[in-house]
Amino acid sequence: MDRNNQHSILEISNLTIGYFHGRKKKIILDRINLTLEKGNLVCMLGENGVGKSTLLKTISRVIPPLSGEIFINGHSLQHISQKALAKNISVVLTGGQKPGILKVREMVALGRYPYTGWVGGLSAEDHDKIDWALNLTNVNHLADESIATLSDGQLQKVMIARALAQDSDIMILDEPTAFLDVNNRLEIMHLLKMLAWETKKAILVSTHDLDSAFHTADQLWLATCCLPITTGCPEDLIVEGEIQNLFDHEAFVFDQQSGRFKTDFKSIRQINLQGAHDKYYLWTKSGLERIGYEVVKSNSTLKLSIESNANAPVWRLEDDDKLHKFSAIGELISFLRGHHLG
Amino acid sequence: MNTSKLKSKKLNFWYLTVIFPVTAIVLFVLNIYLGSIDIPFMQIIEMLSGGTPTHESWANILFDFRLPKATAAVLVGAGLAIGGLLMQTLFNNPLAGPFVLGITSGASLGVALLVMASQFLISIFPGFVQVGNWTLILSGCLGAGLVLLVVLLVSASVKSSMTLLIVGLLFGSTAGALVSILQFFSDKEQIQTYVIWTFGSLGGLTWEELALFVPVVVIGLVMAFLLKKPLNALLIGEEYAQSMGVKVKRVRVMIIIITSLLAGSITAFCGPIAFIGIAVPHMARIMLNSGNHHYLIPATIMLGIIVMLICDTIAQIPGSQYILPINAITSLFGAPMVLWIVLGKKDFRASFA
Repeated sequence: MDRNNQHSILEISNLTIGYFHGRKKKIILDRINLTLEKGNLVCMLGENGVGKSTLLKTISRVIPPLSGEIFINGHSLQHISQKALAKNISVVLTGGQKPGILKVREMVALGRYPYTGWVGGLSAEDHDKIDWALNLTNVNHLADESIATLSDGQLQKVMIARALAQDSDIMILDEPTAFLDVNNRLEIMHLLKMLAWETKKAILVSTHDLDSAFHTADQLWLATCCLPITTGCPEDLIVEGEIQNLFDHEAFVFDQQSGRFKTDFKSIRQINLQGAHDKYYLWTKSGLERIGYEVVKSNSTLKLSIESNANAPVWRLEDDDKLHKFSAIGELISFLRGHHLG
Repeated sequence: MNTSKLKSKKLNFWYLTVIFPVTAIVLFVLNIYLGSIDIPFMQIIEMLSGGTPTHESWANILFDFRLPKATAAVLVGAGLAIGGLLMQTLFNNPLAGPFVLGITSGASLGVALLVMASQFLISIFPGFVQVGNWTLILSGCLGAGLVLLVVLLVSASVKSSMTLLIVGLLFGSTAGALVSILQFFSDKEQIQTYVIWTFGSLGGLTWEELALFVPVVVIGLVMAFLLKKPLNALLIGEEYAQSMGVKVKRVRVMIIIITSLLAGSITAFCGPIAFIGIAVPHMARIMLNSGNHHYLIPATIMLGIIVMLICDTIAQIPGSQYILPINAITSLFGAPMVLWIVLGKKDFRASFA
């Protein structure tokens, strides 16, 4: 792993994290050695309960480390004042309260907390930062709306704007896309990537959304129970099979070719599939694999061909001598499930 | 910013600088004008500006009874309303009030002990305990202070403020149980004295007592205003607040001390007074359409004063000899108010998600 220390903001060395249950230590992850670099979007992946949130909380000093050191810009995390820490790390949490009566602008203005005096009055610079944050996250048109009127996706963007206004080098987000639909998930992840690249912040995100992580992250942190965290560029980690190790599960297999998960059925039946390699071919194959067929190039008693030259594609299924025609993948699949052919 | 938003901002400015203060002053004057004995309005003005009235007794009524009572109404209204606002923000709960910490239960228990166990105490220390104004106040303060001490100890060790709510609740029921036991062993007269105390009373305070009461409440209100910045941060939760640089535990202890100071002293001086603390902060939020404590704190103080003066004016039933229990009037006013808010205002429910 090559490290460019000039750009690293956060350094974690030999960290052990966990909790105290009374006097008893409960170690969740240990031997953690990581760096976070400026301008990078880092996604942390791992199963539930593996310690992602605990690590994020330890980095943002909500809970103390069991041992080891965390350095922010060369300063030990333990010795930074709370105000200075707030200027270095901003967070977006999963839960939190939703004060519906607050206006979006007021919410974002809260991010200026570490910079204002006891009255909380905003200077011209504070107002500039708030406008800047509202603009970058594309929520400036909502500035005067109440929090209560926002959709989940809009609210998440506002919370990111609040963290931006805090003007910290590091931004930590705990599952920011957990409650969002696919469109919003991708939008949020691309927003975070753009923010990391444009503002040169280090953005650390914990997520279960593998797909978005592959498409946006500059670096992945893979957390597995009882093992040191593996890091690297997403593509390398796929090629090296690290992702497969991470999601070692009986029923699912990570397909290195497609970057998708497959159900690892025992494929007892074989089918020969022919047709142009277009979307119909691809998704027919996917559908067949879903119900436990292995698609083979060699001869098989079961032959399927797709004629997709016209606007209305036709699936022709040959079973010995019988011929069946289908006009949709769904029809084909329910037929195959009903007849156990092959 | 569109025009309606600008208008509402302007309206808030007028609320805080003109509408609320003028209403409060008018109600204050009305409060001391109306009473069981008719005193001409011009005579009231005359006396207030230092003149001598036609009847000597009018001066006594005004200065020894009506003015102290109206002053108490102002202190109680402002103090309880702010206590309620602080608790609602700290616990992020619309039904929190200044009494959720169990402070009032402590004061009640103190008073109940004094009133009902005094016979027993006198038999040990002859002539030591006399049930009077000052001893009532003192026992209320001691009870409230004791509970405060326990709550502070708990608050220093717990991670989430929610635990405090449970502790307060437990104090309430424990104190209630102890009071029941005391009542079981007490005479009719003692029970009556205690029950009358639970009615709450704004009247009967002397200027000496007010000389202690006024600064305590004023200090509480000023301290609350100094906390407005962390209070705003707490609106999005303790974890966020901490990440923005709020020393959450310290702020929590400050909020508890202020609320206890206000609720404890008010209960000790005037007895338990319900619903003002819960209802008034909601009125302020709805009227200003804002959650920002910079505006909410002054608005809550003034609305608390206004509501309490109205309640007291109703309680003394103009033109009659009777004074209704103030605690009943505030409940009659507050309960429908809270119901209306909970059932009717969509924004309100969203403000505590």
